[in-house]
Amino acid sequence: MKTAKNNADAKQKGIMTNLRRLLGYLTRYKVRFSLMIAIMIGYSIMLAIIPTISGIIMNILSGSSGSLTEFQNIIFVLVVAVIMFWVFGNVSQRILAGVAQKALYNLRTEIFSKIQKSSLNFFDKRPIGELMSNVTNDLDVVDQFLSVSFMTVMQAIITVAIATIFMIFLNPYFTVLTYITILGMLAISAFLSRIAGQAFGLLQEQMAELNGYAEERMSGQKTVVASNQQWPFIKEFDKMSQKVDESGERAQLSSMANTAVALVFQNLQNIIIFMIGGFLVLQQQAAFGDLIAFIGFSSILMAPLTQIFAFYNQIISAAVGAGRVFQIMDEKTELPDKEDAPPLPAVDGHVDFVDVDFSYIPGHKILKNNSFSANPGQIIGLCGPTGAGKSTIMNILTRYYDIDSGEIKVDDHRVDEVKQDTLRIQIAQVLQDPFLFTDTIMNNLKYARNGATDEDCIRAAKQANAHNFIMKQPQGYDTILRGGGADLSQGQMQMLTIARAMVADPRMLILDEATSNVDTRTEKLIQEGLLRLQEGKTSFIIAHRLSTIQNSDQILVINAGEIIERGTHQELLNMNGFYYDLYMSQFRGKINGIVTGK
Amino acid sequence: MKGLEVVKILFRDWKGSYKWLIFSFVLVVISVVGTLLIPFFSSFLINDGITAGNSDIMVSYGIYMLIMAVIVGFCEFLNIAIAVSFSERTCHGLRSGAFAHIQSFSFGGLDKYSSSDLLIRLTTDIQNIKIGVQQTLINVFKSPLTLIVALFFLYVTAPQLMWVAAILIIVEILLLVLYLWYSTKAYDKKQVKYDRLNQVLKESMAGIRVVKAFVRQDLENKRFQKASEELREAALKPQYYYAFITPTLMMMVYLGTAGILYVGGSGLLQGTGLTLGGVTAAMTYLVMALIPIQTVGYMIPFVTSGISSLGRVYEIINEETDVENTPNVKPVDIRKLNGGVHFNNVSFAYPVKDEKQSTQVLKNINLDIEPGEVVGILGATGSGKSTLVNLIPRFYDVTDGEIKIDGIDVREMPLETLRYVAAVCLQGSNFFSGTIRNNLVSGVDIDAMVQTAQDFNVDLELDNIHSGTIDSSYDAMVRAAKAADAHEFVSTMPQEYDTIIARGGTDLSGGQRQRLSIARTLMLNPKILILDDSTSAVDVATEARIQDSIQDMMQGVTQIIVAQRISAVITADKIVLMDDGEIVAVGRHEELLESNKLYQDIYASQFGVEVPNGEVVV
Repeated sequence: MKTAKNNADAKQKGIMTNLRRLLGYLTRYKVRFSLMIAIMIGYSIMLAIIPTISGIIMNILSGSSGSLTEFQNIIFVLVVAVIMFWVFGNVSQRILAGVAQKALYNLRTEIFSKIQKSSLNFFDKRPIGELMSNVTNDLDVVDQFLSVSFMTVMQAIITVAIATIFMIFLNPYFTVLTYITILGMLAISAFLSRIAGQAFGLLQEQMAELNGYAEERMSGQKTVVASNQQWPFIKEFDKMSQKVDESGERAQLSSMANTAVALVFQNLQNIIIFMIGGFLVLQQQAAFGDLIAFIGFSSILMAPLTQIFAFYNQIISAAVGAGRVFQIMDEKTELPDKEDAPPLPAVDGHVDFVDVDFSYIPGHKILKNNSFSANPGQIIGLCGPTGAGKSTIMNILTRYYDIDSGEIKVDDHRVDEVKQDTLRIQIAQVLQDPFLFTDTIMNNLKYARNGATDEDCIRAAKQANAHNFIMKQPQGYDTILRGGGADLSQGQMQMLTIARAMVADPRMLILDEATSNVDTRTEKLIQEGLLRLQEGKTSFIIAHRLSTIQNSDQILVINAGEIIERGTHQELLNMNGFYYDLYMSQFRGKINGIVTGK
Repeated sequence: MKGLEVVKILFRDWKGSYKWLIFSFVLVVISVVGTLLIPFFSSFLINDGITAGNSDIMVSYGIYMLIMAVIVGFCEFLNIAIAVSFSERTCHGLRSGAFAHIQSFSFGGLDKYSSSDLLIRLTTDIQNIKIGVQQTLINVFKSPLTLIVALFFLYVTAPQLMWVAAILIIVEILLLVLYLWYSTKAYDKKQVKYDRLNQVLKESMAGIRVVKAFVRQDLENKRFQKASEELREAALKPQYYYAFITPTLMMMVYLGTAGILYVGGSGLLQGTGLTLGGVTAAMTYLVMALIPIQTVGYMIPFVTSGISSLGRVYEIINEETDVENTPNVKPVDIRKLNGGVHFNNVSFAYPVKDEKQSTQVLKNINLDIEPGEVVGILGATGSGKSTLVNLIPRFYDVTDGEIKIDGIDVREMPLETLRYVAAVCLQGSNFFSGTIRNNLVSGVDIDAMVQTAQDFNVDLELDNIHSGTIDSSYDAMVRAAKAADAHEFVSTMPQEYDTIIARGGTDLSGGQRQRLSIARTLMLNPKILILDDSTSAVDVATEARIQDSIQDMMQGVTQIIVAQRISAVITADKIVLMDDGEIVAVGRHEELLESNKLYQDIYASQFGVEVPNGEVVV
């Protein structure tokens, strides 16, 4: 019980902290923010002055006292108040819009640059969809808070305070009367909101279930058709939709009942003021104008008080959304550079692994005791079953992750003792899934190296055998790759990523060979490009098909995180060990008979 | 689809519900008149009660007002209830109907709309329709009626003040029209910038390895900042418009009040026949006349987006099923089929909007597959292998030529039969969250079919499926799973076949998914079993085992195996080699290895061995 209460307290505290921090993004613009608050106060004063003046006018009219000029003057004052009201309202909202959008801009760019700085480990823990939703959905909710709810609630509070002061000065009896009815109404509407809240909660759950169901089917619809599963699915979806219909009706009705109740109460309030006020006027206890003024005040009070209720949920969800954003911002950056780590000077490409142990999760060793070295210009092939640790070896060479023990050296510099950026920039990578940006082909190539010229890129494209198909694109090198190259074939995308790596042209190369099937001619073009790319570089090739690494200077055979065999293709075959089996398994099964000439 | 057409269809669907709409109209009339009677009574309360000093009159008018308030509240509530119930039911009908219709789509329909598009139509669009219908039903009678009746009362109470109201109403309508026009445009512009920001964001994260590999975080930051700054600027405009319109609309109300006070007050002071109660009531009438205009103004965006969403949902519902039973369909007895397949001059192009862009994916295919044969289909990605087999169960219809099963054109076989005769285990098959058993048997669940057909009034001719040939029993499931080499790993799972798997089967390995997928297809007990690259994720030994056990279980069944790996088809009775939509060679492995250059190339690239003179060298 106690811990539950503590948890609730902590949650409450978390919400307040988040809101305060969020507001910090607004109050950072001190001058504009204070100006805005001042104008909001002015707005509320005008709002309260309007019914006051109406009351005065009514007193003049009902008493038939006062001259026509006096009456005209006061109407003039009323019109001025109305215009000021308009100016204040407009200006304060404009200021807020400016400040709020600035605040959002700052939040967006802060979280983005934080995400960019994060290690790959960070991305392993979070699916991209979730991060996307942090930057878009969560910030949308925050936007709603900064641009609308915050101001509405502030304005409501100011208005209630100022209107109350005006009312007390005008007529304390009426003030009490007004508050009694308003509070009565608020109590009822709070009660109804709670019922509605529960109903909406249920609806939301069922909606989520229905959406999930539909999403799953839609994304696998072809399977549904192929395995004749349509019938049971139609029935099940219909049932879910029916449920959503029913709880939707219930939820909407209970919330809309609120509207009807509010309507009755608003009328009721006016009637009470009329009746009781009428008696007071009859007994000369109050002036007729006060009565009219209070009818005006009651509507001025009603709106903000209901708004505070209405925005409560929005504010809570903004705090929760902001909490998620702040959580990412506050996360400690993993793998920082050592303090005053020197940059890695231009290297020859000598790579040494000495007794390297590594685990992604502490206690689950992925690499055990790995040692090898590569001389400048050598080609090192890595092979082994899926999950053996081939890609991991490359991930730690580029220091995407830190190793548990041992050391990795490039030209006698430990990789964890130099600036990461200066290490990575000296290792070109061609990854398994060719990734391109929605931008021109030229810009995609230039991406590889700051300051690369058009000529550099065209030369690289020619070397990678990409020039020909690039020239066939509608705008040549200026063609924009829609959807990151959705219009290109897999082979063409691979050639572009090879060309991109050529633009970078450093001393070392990591090649994660793709498994995708391309036609034999394209395959040949790609292989040619890759060979040119490897020229003069220390190259690491992660092979999925053994045919591509047969010419390596050294092949490392990796199994379960250990280098179990090493040597050239021929040496390894002669060993008649794991590599031999791996190689022969391609011919295994029924092929066996054919190879051996059954 | 045009807005008006959509609304017409909606009304057609609502036939029979007119009495509710009429009832709603009556309720609105009562509530509007009642609402306006309240200030009307209040003017008597002031004039005859307060000003005249008669407390009895004051009390009785007060009671009248109270009664009116309660009646109005009651009618208002009922009207809302009707709108809510109507909109929810409409949406349920649309949602369920659209979903059921999508289930009848063949692959052509599914290619036309992406899965996320279909999903949005089933969810977001339906939600928009709900709000639109609700808003419309609540306001369609109420707003115009309130305006008219308020003006009428104003005229009765103080005809001298009508012109003040007229000016304000015209100005307000103008302002709202301008606001809607400009703010919609500004919102659209903002949306464009928002989409751009999302794109930059998504790419920078999806490509984080590229970003890091080339050390371009700075460039990404700059790119994002630019998009973010553009969004900030674009987001300001609609907010400025909003900052303008809200105080302006309130100002209109207050200016109206001031105007009435001035005109009415001057008249009262000069003794032109206006009463104090009249002026007070006139102020209320004016406010009441202005508010429905505001309501309609704020409502319009919801209604227009509701209408366009409705159009999108109707587009789905009215989408003609691309493949359906032709009039020539004749019932076929599955048990009497042997499973021979014959392609005669088959050509195929995927349906596209622009005729000129359509490219032939299959050209002039002639192929004879005899009953009980095992046929391998080999070729590069995009050579047309999958397309070829998808034509057999009519996932698409041929553009030209014909496909016959045992001499019967597939278009003359009932679809319900055909899809059990020729079953495809799709490449990259999907699984749905639920038990393994459910995933395996739901395609052969006769009871579910019959029930659904009854519930939705569909003519399901069970004879066409021949319930005798399909079996959803536990034993049948285990038999299928065993043949697909899936039984063993399912047995080690905590609840065996009742184990719940995650959506997409992501908690299974690729090989396990493929094996379950084969089992699911085997459950359909087809005469022609088509495996479309279904064993790419299992090792060669398992692949061989599966093929053997399928052979044992499905005695006499024709098998068509589409594959990338030669090892998957090496023992086939014949291998069909495809390239660029055409069959380039047909023959046994040894024959092709000897005679066909393309086959030799593929062999060499897959096994890393050259094939000089057709002899294999290791």
